[in-house]
Amino acid sequence: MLDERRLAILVESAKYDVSCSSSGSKRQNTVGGLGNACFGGICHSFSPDGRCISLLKILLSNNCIYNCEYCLNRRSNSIPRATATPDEICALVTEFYKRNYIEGLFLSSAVVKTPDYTMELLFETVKKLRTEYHFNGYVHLKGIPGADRLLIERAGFFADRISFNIERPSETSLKLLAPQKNKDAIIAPMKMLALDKYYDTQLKRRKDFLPAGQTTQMVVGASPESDAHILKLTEYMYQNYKLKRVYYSSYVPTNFETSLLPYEQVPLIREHRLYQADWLLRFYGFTADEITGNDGNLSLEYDPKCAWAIRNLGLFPVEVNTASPEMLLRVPGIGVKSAYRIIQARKYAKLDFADLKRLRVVLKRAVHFITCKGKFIGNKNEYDIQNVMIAAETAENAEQLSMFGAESSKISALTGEL
Amino acid sequence: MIIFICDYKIDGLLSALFISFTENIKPEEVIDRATYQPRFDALIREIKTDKQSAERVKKALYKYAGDDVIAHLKVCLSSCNPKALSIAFNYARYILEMRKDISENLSQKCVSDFSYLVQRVLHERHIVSGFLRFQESASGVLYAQYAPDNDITSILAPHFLRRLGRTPFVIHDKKRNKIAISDGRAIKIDYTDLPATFALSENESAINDLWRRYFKAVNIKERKNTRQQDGYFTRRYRHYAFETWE
Ligand code: SF4
Repeated sequence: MLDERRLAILVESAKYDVSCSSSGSKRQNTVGGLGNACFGGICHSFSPDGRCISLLKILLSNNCIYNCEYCLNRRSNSIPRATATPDEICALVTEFYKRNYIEGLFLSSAVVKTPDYTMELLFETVKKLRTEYHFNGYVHLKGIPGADRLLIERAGFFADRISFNIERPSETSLKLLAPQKNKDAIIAPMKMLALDKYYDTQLKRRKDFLPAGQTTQMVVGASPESDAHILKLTEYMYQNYKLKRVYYSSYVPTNFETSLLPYEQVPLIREHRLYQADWLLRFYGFTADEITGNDGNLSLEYDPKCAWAIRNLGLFPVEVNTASPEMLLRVPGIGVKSAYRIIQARKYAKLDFADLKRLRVVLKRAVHFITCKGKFIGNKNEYDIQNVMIAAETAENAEQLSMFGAESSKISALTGEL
Repeated sequence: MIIFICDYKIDGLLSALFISFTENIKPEEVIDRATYQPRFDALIREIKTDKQSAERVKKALYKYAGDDVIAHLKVCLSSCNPKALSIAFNYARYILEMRKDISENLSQKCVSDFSYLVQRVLHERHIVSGFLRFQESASGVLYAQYAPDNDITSILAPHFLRRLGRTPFVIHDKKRNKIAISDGRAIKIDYTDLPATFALSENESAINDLWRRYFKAVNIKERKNTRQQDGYFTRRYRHYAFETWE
């Protein structure tokens, strides 16, 4: 079994990877096996940084041959090094899993010897976990850029999800900060994992290959790219690489010996706004251009849907009893669940404001953008509405929310749902 | 004002619905026989649970509202809300009145009350399915204890049967002295007290230490946000997640 010292080292080096989700897979248990996957994911604990703990997030090794400036594991950094064997990881996962500490494993590694050698080790671990330990819980593997595509493909038949991290939002920043990595080594496997041959086009889902798809992550604020640039890139990747999620991690300085990186931490609110904007891209039918408007960056004062609505006041108010689902979703304060409830309930009777309250639609923001049976009870002045939106944000202390979370009663920091 | 008194179980509820329809009585409240306190402000109607009439109502509910309706009524009955029986009754009565599935007509109070209660119970089940902690006994049985707000043991245990497979386990609701026992194939629900202590497996304490160590190591100190941690991981559930204990 892995000892406490190595566990701490290997987790310390893995924890900045923000992907924590255990969702997207419906893997079933097998006879005599251990575990299954829950499609919506399950949080098992929350650490003092407010993040959900769902998976055992660990590296196989932090002994890296590369020297990426932003990374703790860079070769030139004098930190304690450790390596675990595939069996040690498998044993730890099963012991933790059966006690219900975790949903599964998020396994990554520094580049040991070569990308192929490292990917082979990752593959061996996940294969062992499935075939020798009969583990059917969730497994997220981090792909090693530059590894042989066959190795990556083989791992995809055992893992639920694979991610290749784009790391920096532009090629220039990547070249500057991670000179041994190149954009193509990251993009090529992402393209491969999006190939049609892995999809059942009729059932519109993946075959036995990576049921929870692929994701990526980029660090925000370590390089000068604007939110508009980041969202454009995100939109492109969703459209072209069939990504399930793009994760954003606001930059935390870990290397004070270089002038290439800022010494200041990036405020969590920027990351939070990006998650909200990302949600608008994925579920609300917004384009990246609509979200950012003419500004390069998202408003820090209120969420991007409010910002869009205030820029487009001429389109409001909309009548809740007749508005299209798409337009309802664009009303500040009306989320996917509220829109669904409204659409269902209005089939039976015309709704008024009291009905909306009964449907548990939060009206604080929405009243300024809707009518019910022709009645409007909001404010039409742009300046006043802006102030109301800022006040609503302040009341919710949204700036304290960062990247993770779970429940819909609050603005979901996990998803950025609006 | 008429009040129905019936058994707090699905057949008790269905029997009350049967009487309500056949005798055309709309009770103001439906109260659990076990907790009923005599009242003098209402006419009391005691309902005896009757399997046959319950079966007839069940058939009708299935016909109008689909396969999940009885399961949802059971979930509602497992709520800790003192009005759960009345809320389930009003919802089911509305289905029978309208003769169709009305689950999405949330502007109706009886539907939104019911839907809210069901969501609350299912939410607690979801939360607990992550926060519950098992300990391994020397004999290899996994044991977890908890005290949920709602009576969720019967709907929680199947989740663990699916994932733990052949590993036997016990989930113990300390509040209600209710236990779910899995022998690795099926679940049995029982009401009993269990011994306060039992012998743990050899490596239990080492695994506990590793988990505590993991919890500490995975935290990013520079991003301290205990307010968010408190919001998502409320104190009453932390009681079982020993890694958070100071
Ligand atoms: S290759 Fe990965 S682990 Fe190695 S230094 Fe670069 S980012 Fe860090």
